[in-house]
Amino acid sequence: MIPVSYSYRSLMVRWKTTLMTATGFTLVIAALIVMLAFINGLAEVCAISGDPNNVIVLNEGCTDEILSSISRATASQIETNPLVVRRPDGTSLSSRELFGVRTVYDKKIRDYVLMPFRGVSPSAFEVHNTVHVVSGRTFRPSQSEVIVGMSIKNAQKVELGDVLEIARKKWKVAGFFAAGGAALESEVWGDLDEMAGQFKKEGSYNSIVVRAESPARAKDLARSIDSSAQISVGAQTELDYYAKQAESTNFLRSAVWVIAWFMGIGAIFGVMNTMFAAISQRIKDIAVLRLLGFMSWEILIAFLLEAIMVSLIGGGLGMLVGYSANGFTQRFTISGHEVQFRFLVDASLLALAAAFSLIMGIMGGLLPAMSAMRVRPLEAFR
Amino acid sequence: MSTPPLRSNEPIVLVDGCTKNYSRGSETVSVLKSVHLEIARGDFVGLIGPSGSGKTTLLNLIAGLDQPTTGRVVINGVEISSLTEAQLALWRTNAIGFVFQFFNLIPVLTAFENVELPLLLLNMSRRRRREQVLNILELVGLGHRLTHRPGQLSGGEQQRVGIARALVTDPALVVADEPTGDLDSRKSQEILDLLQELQVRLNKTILIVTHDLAVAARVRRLLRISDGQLIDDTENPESVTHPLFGSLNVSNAARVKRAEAARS
Repeated sequence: MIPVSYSYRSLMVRWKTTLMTATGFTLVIAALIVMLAFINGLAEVCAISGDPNNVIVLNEGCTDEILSSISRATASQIETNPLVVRRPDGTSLSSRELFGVRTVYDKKIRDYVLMPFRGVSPSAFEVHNTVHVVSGRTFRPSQSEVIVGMSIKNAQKVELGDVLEIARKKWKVAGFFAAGGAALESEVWGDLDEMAGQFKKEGSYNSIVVRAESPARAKDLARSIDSSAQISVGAQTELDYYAKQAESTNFLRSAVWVIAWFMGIGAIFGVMNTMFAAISQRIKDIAVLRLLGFMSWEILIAFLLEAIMVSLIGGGLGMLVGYSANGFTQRFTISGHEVQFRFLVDASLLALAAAFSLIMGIMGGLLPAMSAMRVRPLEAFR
Repeated sequence: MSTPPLRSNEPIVLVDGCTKNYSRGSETVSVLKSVHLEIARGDFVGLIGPSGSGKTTLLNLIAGLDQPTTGRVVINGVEISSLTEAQLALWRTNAIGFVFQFFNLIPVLTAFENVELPLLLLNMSRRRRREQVLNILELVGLGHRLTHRPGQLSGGEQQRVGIARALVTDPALVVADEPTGDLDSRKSQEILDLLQELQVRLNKTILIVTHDLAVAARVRRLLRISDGQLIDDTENPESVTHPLFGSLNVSNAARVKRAEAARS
C-alpha cells in the first residue's frame, strides 16, 4: 500500500486549497445538521406529547381535532365503554374538550400571532396527568380566566394578570401550566362551558379523551370504540395520534435532503476540481509509483483517500458548527398547534452527517482517482 | 514468482529478435528493428545513440515497462514478455531498479520514505525495512540526510536518493536513463563514481542509457544504437565517437579507475 502519509502530506502541502475545499463541506454539513436538528426537535415534541394510556376520539375520518365535532350524546356513549377507567364514584375518567385557534395581538412583536386554546373541565387535569399549574392558580369557571402553557409564556412574555383578547372577549391570565414539554404546553386553557358559549359551540366537542388502565388496554379501548356499531367516531391512542402529527415532518425531512444534496453537489464538484488539479500536477509521482510496482488500484486508493480526508476535515468542522445549534429553541406551527421545541442534535444525527460527508468525499474523489489510476507511466515521462 | 536457478554463463538480459512498432495514424513507425542483445551478469553497460534512435524503447522493453511487438525478452531467467500486468508489476519491484534523469522522487516524502517505498510492496517487517533503507542510504553517503525532503536536497543528493531507491530491493539489474542528464559535470562524475563503486561492491548489472560521451566513456561495454538497430558493440571503449559531437578520448583517469574497479 502507498503510505497514508503520502495522501495526508500532499493535502498539507497545498493547505490553502485543502482548507477552501473543506469549507464547502463544512457549510453543507453544518446546514444539514441544523435543518435536521429542527425536524428532530419537532418530532421529539410529538413523541413525548402522547400519553400511552389515553385514547383520543374524533369524528370518523378526522385526522386533526380542529375539524372534528362530537355531540354530547355521542360523548356519553363513548364514556360508557367498560374499558374506560372509573373513579370510585363510578364516573368515567374522560375529558370532553373544545379546541380552536384564534389570532391574538402580541404587544411585544406588534403583530397577530396564532393562539391555540382549549376549553376543558376539571377532569382534564386527571386525564392529562402531566399537566400541572406551576405558578398562579387554575382558572375559575365563568370568571373569564385562563391558564397559559409555559412555552407560550416564555415566547410571548405573558405575565400573571395580563389580559388576552381572544374572540373579542378579554381573558385574564390566572396561572401558568407545564406539561413535561409536550405540545399541550403551547396552549391556553379555559373553562369548557364558558369557551363553548363564547365560540358558539354549545352541545358539541372537538374531542373526547378517555383514559385506560394500561397502554395495552388503551389499544383495546381505541379498537373497541372504533368498531362500535352505535357511534361513528374514530378513536386512536394519543401515541398514534401524535405519531401521525409527526408524519407531517416527513415532507420537511425530504425537503431538507433535497436541499442538502443540491448543496452537496456543489461541494462534490469542489473536491473534484481540486483533485483533478492536484493529479495533473502529480502525474510524475503516479508514474514513479507505478514503475516501482504499485498497482493501479493502490493509486486509486491513495487519491481517493485524499478526497476523503478533505471531506472528513470539512465535515468534522461542519459537525462542530452544527452541534452549536443543539438546544436552540424555536416555535413552529404543526397542524394548527404552534409548538415550541428545541433543536436536537444527537449522536445518530452526527453519525448521519459524517456518513453524508464521507459519501460526498467518495463521490467527489472517485472520478479524479480513476483518472489517476489510468495514468500510463511511460507517457507520463515523455 | 520464483526465479529459476541460473547457470552462471547464462546472460542476465536476453533480448531475442525484438521489434517494436508504433502506429501514428495510418502510418506504422518501426522504432526497433529485430534487436538481439545479451548482457552478462555483473556487467556495466552503456547504451548510446542520438534522440529517436530507439534507446529508451529498448530500455523500456528490458525494464518490463513495455512489450515488444515481436520477439522475446528474458531477464534473469524470466520471460517477461509473457507476463500479465500484475505479474510484471511485482516482477519489476523485485528484479529491476530504476534511476531517472530527473530523479523523480516523491516531493512530499522524506529521503528515507522515498527509499522505503519499493520495500512497502515486499511484505517485509518494519524493522527489516528500516535496516535495509538505512544501510543503502549510508552506502550512497546520505546517512545524515534521512529526514530531508527532495526540495531540501541538492541535485546530486537527490540522485543519490534515487540510486538508493533503485538498489534497496537488491535487484539483479539496475537501469539508468540519463542518470546525469540533469547534473553539472562535477556532480555527474560523482554520481558515475558512485554507480561504478556500487556495481563492483554489490555485483550489480547496470545498464545506462545516455547521449553523454563522458558517461559512455566510463562503462565496460558500450552499445551503440541508431535507427532502431544496434550498430556497434565495444568492450572497454578507448574512445567514443558521436555523430554530432565527434570523438572523445577516454581519459587516463577513467581508464585507471576502470582498471582499479576490475581488480577489486
